[in-house]
Amino acid sequence: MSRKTKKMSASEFEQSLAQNQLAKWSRWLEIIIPAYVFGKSWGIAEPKNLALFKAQFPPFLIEATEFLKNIYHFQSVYVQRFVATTCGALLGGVVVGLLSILFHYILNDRKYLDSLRFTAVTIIPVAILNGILSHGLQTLVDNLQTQSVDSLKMALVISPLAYLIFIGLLYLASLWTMGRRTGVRTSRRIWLMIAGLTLLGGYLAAGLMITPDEWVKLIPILTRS
Amino acid sequence: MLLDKQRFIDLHKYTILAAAGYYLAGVFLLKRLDYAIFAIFVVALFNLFHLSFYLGRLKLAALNWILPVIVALLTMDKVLTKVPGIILPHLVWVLILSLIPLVILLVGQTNTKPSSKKRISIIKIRIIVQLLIFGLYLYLSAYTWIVGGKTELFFWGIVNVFTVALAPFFCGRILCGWICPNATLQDALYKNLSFKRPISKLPEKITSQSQTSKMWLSGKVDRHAPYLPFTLLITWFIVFFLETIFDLTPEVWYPLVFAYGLFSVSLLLPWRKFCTYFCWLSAYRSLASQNSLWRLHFNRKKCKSCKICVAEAVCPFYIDIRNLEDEMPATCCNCFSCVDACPHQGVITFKRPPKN
Repeated sequence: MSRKTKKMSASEFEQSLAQNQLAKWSRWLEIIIPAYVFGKSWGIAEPKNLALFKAQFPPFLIEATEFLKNIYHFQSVYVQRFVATTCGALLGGVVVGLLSILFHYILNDRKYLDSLRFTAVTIIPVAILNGILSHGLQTLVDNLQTQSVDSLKMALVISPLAYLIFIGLLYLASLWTMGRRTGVRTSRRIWLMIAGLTLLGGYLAAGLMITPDEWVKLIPILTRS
Repeated sequence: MLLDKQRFIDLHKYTILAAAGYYLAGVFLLKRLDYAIFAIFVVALFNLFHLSFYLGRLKLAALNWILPVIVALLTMDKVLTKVPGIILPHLVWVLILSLIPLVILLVGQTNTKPSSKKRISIIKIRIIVQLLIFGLYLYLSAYTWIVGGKTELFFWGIVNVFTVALAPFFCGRILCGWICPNATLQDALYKNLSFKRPISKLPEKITSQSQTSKMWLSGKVDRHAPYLPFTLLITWFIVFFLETIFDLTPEVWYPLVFAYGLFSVSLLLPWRKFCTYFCWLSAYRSLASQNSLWRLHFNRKKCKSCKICVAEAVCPFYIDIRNLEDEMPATCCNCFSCVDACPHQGVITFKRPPKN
């Protein structure tokens, strides 16, 4: 929504920001928090579950965060985990930033920063999906000895697919409702949905989810573990 | 015995306190628990939720206390435990906890006239949902500590996904109004406690920084609605980084901090101030709820300015609906308390935004 359509003038807005520094920063956190949640899952892979993370998420994203993490290796486990999470979050920010360029072009009714906020807030369902998948992998690796191959297949291949379909629908709903809430015309909302579907398709094509081929390769690794 | 408002509250307060002591001892020390204990919590909180209704109808309030007695008798041969053993002492304790308020309410006298104000249906439904989820949480938490497994983690996982990914698009931040066990405890019990809170007033810097932000994204502006920038800045980021970095999720975070920690800290501040200014869960939902379609709307033309819906007494998040141009901001938890408080028809309604 452009500033002209709102009832507060630009000068009032600037004045209110001048009075309230924290609120000003919270405007940035509207972008940073979803991007952080979206990307942190890529950064928290550990050597014991790296193969699984590469199979579950697009390998190039995991490799990119691994590269960033290994630029300087800290002795402290906690500092290293902080670095790992931050690297994932940074990458998440980059992806959100790139996607927002497309959204900005589609929305075409607001400043770029507002399009970025729009992209960040609507991507929360996909961030939740990433969180579910990474938590699932970690829990699975911790309880590997008690799992049968069938239950592993269910946890790694079949359940995530159900999550993807469910969360994918939520993501599209999120785009639609945010468009509706911020006064985006119906035709442009349809384009937003197409862009959202493209993102999900692209994410899937890039390597999200464990394919049957990857599963066959993973069985010996899991059995050895 | 004359049961005025304060005594009614005290009776339920001390019952809850005794039940909490039994619950915590059962979960952490004895590793065994009667199922009726969950019913005791639910009934005590139910009566407190409907304080104004039951204050003039003590016999009806007493009837509710039959529920835990029935549950205790029906489940007398079952105890939540890993090791089977003696059941009788636990059963006696649970029966005492249920029968004392039952008898006191039966023999008690009241000077209060029965309230004629009817609660709106959605509030009744909300209270039942809140209490069922509260009971479920207590059970799952006890189950996790006594029997083992990750049931409680699963509960919070479902709650997280539902309240961050699913609910916000349609009806906003319902975690804080309908689901959170801490919110239930605060709305029913803590709100009625009259002791002076250790932190009775928050520093001006916190409240002012939290109450004047703008919601450009959702297109609506409420200068007085806390949008939680203080929470976003000070709490959310630090807390979530700590959770990930120290890998606190399974051992410490969900089993202890998420509920017991919040229950305790919330007692230090006035009603719902913790949720309003510091809760990181609440802040994240506020962010995710910016696109919620269904919101409470305010019709200024129909408002009679009776000020019964004043924020401090009614709204958990201290949003004064009279300050709004037409609808509630994303921080509204859709508890419908303002709708319930308003004595006039059609002033506050729940609907989708107009197309333009």
